[in-house]
Amino acid sequence: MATEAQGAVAALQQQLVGAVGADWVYADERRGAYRVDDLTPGLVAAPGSAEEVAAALALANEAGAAVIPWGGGSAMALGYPPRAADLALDLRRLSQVLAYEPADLTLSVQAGVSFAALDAVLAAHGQRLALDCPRPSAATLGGLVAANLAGPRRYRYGTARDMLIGVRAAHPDGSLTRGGGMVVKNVSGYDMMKLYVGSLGTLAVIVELNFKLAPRPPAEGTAVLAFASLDAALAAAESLLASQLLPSAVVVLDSAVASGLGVLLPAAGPAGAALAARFEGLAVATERQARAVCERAVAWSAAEARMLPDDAAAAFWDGLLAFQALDVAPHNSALLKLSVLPTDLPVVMAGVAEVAGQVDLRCLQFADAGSGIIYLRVGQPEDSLPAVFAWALWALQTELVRRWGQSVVLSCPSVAKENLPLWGREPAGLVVMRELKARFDPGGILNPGRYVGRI
Amino acid sequence: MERAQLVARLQQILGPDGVVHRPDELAIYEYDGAFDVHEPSVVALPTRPEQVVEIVRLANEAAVPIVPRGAGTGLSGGAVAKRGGIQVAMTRMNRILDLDYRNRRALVEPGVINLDLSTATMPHGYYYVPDPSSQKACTIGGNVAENSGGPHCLAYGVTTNHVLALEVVLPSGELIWTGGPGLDTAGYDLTGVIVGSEGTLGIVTKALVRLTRQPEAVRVLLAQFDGVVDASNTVSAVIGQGIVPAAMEMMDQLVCQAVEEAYHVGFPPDVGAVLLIEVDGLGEGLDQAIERIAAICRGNGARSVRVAATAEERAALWNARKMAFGAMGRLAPSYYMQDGVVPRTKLPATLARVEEVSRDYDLRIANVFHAGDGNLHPLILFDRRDQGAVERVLRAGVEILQTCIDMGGTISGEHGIGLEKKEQMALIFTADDLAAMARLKASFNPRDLFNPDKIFPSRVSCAEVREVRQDSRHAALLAEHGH
Repeated sequence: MATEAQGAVAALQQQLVGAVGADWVYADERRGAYRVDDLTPGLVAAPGSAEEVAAALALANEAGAAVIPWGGGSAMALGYPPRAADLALDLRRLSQVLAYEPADLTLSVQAGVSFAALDAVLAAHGQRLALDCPRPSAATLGGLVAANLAGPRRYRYGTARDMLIGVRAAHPDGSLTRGGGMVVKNVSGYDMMKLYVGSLGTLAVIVELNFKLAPRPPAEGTAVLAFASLDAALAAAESLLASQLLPSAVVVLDSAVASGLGVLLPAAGPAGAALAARFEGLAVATERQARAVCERAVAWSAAEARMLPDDAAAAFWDGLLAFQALDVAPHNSALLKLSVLPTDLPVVMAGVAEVAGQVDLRCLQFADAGSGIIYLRVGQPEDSLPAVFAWALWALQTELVRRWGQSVVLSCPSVAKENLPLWGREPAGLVVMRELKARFDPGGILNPGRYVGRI
Repeated sequence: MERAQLVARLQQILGPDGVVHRPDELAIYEYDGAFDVHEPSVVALPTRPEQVVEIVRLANEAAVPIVPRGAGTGLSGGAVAKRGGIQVAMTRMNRILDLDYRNRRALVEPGVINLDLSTATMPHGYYYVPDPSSQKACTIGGNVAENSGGPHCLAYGVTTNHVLALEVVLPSGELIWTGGPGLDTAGYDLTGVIVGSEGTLGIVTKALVRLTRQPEAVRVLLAQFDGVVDASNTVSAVIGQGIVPAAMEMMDQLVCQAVEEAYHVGFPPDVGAVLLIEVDGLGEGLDQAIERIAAICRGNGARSVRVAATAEERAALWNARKMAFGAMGRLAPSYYMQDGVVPRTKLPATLARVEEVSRDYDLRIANVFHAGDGNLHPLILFDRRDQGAVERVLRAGVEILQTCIDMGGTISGEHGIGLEKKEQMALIFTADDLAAMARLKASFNPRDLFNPDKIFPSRVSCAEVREVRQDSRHAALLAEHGH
């Protein structure tokens, strides 16, 4: 058996060398950098063009080899362990900006460009992709879109689905297809972009992305308010969100997260919470808004309020994004995301803390109050047994899913994933999702088993 | 199944007044806002999602096509029952079920009229952003099917950016929610692919949509230019300088003349183009933004720039734009509206080419459109009584679409493909591209009973597309790798 498998790997390796060149196919120790959960792919290929990606996929498909598409690797914790991992497809050589006309506010870029590299190109023209990225230097745009990561500024600017106006994807049959285009309004044919956003590379491999860009705001302002309780902070957030102010993000942090980021003011007390509001735009407008929030502090019964200086504000928001990074995974810890109605946040945040306490999990959480999203880190001490942590995480997630449905474990130790309802409640459209998978990837080679319903 | 039996079965589901089957009554349902006409076998008027489920099951059992329909204002033939069958008119499911201001969302039935939702929410300080020109008549369900736009989509996005989740009857007859109540749902974005799918993937029975807080302040500016080139350069310059207005609309000379003749809004007779620009947001900064825009207009040769001082003046400026289509009757008995999109910087070159098409085909073409999005709406004026006019108009229309494609744009920005443009899909998409779309369609609608004959070009059937592609791919692979 072993020799047969080795023979198959060797044959695929040889074919891949033919398709992408000998320098870009590895079967040596470099594979170690492409570990996904407890599996290390037998082969790594780094194609240099969209055509080479398609050719590599076709060869893997013929060989029945499981493919793990790989961007920056910063979101590899997402999903179940793959059923198999034969070939890691490193897409970082697809690193070109293909078209950028600043006056059109659109851009076409290859999937392997990192978020930070793109941001540097756009910054030179006073523009940006208005998406929060927890790991900008590592994360590639293809990976960011495939994992559908976003941060608190989604409240104002939306998520990848709202910015992606065109896509090119490579398929297991070796074809390359496009959807959408380079215009900001487009109803020509199905919206294929929506299909691939968040599909975790299980339907096709994204090779090019066209984005709608935004002007880089000339100024920003951040107001931080401290409260005696989470409920008080959430009530203030609701009031702010109902006003005509235009925050780009409104977040509410529990006392642990607020302390960790240095924004829990002593006046709030130990059970306190903090609210932070971010405003972006013309200086005259951002200042007025940040000030307006601080002025309401008394009406909202905040213990204290202040406007953060620019560098402190930047450090705070970066720190908050780092909190939701998937590749920060200390021993015996996990990162979860809940999606609920904004008005349910008080009940859910209290419930989360209660359930975590019941199963002996330390719990830190913050809410993107505008979008009703909670990021939650749970953990147990280093010396706790991994199996004990795994059981506690299972118990927590099972209860969160029972109560609120949309809870996803974004990152946790591989051993804890086995029986975990990792993706939350089974979606009603799972039958159609399986059909999509069967038709787009009939051989089941793309990230097999990692996705919702073990697709 | 015999037609009479189909009618009887539908009457069992819907009651006698829920079924339209007499020829004179069916005539109302044989067209929409485009050219194509075809009579459905029967029209069903459900009032509840469960009835839609029953209708879909019946269509499956009888193997007849099923075509959803909203208000019939569509401009690409999407609601026309090309192969007959059951047309499901959703107009009786027209209740606003929930207005949840605290969570900024509304739950509506698909037959709710677009403007009614904003009218209902305005007093509470909220509105529904997508505002297609037909918003007084068109339905939210139809907007979802077509992914409709409108003037205010420049800053705020089109329908797909405002739909949070859908209750939908799938072609299998299963009734599902694609998401909700939270914003994020695990799994493929079924909401996202159903929006804009033109009734080919299911029938929407409820929509959860985003409500947007009304802005604190609004400013509107109207700039007059000698010609469309100056006006288009202004559009590019505004965007290029980092300002994304809420709306940026253009009218060319023909349109301005017609509007002036009809409504006497005060356009000089020789004005070459007019730009209507709206910015909204915080009071602070808006005056600065509108001043910058005014300066850009003047820098690009605007002969006059007027900023509305009051709400009444704003409404008056917008009225001139909204009345434009109505004024077209002054110019010709009929017009055919195209819907192409180009990158914004390509507007001047595209409009110049449209002018050439106008000369080549000896047809007057008026332009009134969403300039900020690069979304053109050339109105080709004609008189049906003229020999060969319709054919000439359609040929000119295709030529304009080809121009949009050549400029790096596409063939529809907000009206959809439907019947009208399905052949032109082959101009922008390869057989492989279409095969991927066909796989998406087949995943929902494997029997092709849902709105058949739409979107995909007919010359090559989807199955053929797939086979041709697979054969050639296989052969190429074998040759390449020496098997």
